[in-house]
Amino acid sequence: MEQPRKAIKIADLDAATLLGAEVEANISPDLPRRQWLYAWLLNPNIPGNYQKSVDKWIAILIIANLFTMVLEQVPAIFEPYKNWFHAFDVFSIIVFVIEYLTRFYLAPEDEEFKDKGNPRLAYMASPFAIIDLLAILPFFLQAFVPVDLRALRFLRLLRILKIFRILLPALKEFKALNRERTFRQKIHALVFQSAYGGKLKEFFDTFIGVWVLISVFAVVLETVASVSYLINIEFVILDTIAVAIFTIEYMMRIYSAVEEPGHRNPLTGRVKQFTNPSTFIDFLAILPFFLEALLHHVLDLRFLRIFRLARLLKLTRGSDATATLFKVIKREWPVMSAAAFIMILLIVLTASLGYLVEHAAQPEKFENIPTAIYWAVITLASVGYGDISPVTPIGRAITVVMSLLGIGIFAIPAGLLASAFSDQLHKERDALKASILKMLGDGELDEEEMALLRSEAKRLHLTVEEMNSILEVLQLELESARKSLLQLPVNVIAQNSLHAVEHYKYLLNQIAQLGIYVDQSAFLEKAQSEDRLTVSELELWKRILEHR
Amino acid sequence: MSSAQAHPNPPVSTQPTGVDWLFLLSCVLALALVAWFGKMNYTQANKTETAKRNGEAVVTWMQEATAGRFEPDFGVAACAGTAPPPAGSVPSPDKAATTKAPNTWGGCLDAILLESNMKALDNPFRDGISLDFAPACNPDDRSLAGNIVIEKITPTPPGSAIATIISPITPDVVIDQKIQVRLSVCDKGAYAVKVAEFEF
Repeated sequence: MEQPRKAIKIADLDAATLLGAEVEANISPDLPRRQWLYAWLLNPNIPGNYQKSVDKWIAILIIANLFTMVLEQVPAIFEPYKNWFHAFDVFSIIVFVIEYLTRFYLAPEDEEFKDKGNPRLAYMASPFAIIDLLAILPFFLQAFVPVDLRALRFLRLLRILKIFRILLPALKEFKALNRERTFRQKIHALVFQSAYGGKLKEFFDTFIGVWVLISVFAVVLETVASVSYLINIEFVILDTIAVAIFTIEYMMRIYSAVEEPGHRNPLTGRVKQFTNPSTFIDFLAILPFFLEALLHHVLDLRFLRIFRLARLLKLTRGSDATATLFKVIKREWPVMSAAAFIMILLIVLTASLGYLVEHAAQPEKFENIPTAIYWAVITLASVGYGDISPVTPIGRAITVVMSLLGIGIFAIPAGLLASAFSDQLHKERDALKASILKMLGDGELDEEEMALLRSEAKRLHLTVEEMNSILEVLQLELESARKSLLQLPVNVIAQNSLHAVEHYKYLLNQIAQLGIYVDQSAFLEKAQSEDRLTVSELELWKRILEHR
Repeated sequence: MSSAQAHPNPPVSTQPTGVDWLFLLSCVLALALVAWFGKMNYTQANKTETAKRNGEAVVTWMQEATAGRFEPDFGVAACAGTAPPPAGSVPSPDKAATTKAPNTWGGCLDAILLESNMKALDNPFRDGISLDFAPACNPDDRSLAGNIVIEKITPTPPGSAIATIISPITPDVVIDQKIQVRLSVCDKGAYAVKVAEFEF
């Protein structure tokens, strides 16, 4: 049997809950110490406690450990900062030991172990606890037993296994979400936005995002001669790994594109996906690697390496702000192109004038109109490098007028974009209000509608205060709509069943209010004495008053 | 675009189909290709590393020789400098007539490759070809890859926009005085990779 949907009325809507804002954990300080500690640190079912933060920081520490392990292999980095690496290792171990001991101490409170004969022993024998122990054991091992450095480094790799504490539940959730789905649909769920991605999709996006940042950082550092001199080989290895990851992601995207709406045909759907700007960026991100490797015997294509910076654009995928900006540019394109036309006209005219009056005085600087165009742009844009400047009185007068015009002309596109962007945001917020109103057609919001509302509010970056003000406006609008409904003829109201119900409720309220304010005995006397109300009408009056 | 509204494909089988296996195979092949290209890049980068090590070896030799090359019994005679005459002394006309022609950079660099322990070094980019010096790296001439370039550093007057001027050292430049030099190696694209700046 289908579970009844939990619904909420607009008057009961709380913006903080709706937006998933931080709520204060409701944990009694009177709880026994162990229970209290578990509730604050490890209980995943108490909103507002520190469980998510603990998991997040442990995950960050694990990833930082992974990076330090890789960097330790580079003598040019490791040798000068050996002590810092050691300090970080000690810090990590301290945190991991504290985590292990805390989980060990709190095991009797954990749902998973509390029913076992010996909860702490059960915890120690659990796979995650074994992984946690393996993560810290090698550190203590080296203190008591002489261990080869390479073996120790290998053992420290076991620390990375801790990441499975986060990955495995996400994988489990992903499997559950995609139980009855095909392999291709699962791939689709992983690389495209859908309702089937879950936490694993978030991790996948984070993983790709981290690699984008690493590879872009590497491209930037490669241009620093002193750094590149020391770790050039490492940059090559890093780029190969990044390209391998991005290539697989790209192939997954192309392969599963047919699951996207409008891409159903296996060939045209994939071609459509290939020509999609965001997928084309993915292609550009890996292309320089293949071109350079294929053509390095014939051409030196190192200039293509700079195009690896295009990988940064991968981060804009899924960014609603970027999508809004593109929408705004598209919408304002006619106005912007008109502004650009005026700008170009002004540049060419002023450059020609500049050439005309200055060429004779300084032929080496105002050599031709293209050179004068450079001067005109630099002047109109208020940059003013000063490498080319007029010397004749007319030239200077033109420059004065140009500078003043430039302030206005160059500000037009910026102003246009800014106002259009703000306008677009207002429109989207109005659309959100309209959709809430539509959802509230039945007077309530169910969980699905709440989820949609939450994602829309997140997309529009609404704060709790903004959401609250929207809800207040909505309440007023609903109230006003209810009032204006009363002005309508009854036959019009009756055309909409919801309006009819609301109107009926209003009428009942009116009768109840009448019952409160009227002198009951005088009312009954009048109604009965002069036969103004029938018996059934009088009975109905009494029943309404009884029930309200 | 949200795929929450993605068209609901009726699941045929939750197991990978033949096409899925083909996709997985192509992924493996793509990874193999990336690994192969990566190895090629690694090999090339390793050659640049070897070229840098060659350059460092030359730098070490030259830095060690800097102090001794103004002594009368300096091993590599072609690199020997002229010791400045004692203050106040007047050179005798007979001695001046018998003094041999001053050493040049061309002769010195040839001697470094022939007489010092540098003769064992090879150009990593050209199999079987030993190390050589070039006046400058030039990306238009990729045959220069792996060569060593020594350039003269001339400080500019204080307050100049640039602190130093780098100029090539031609083989006929006299080597009798100490000068500030920059040693670079040409990488696989014949672009200069600076190794060190020192006095020689």
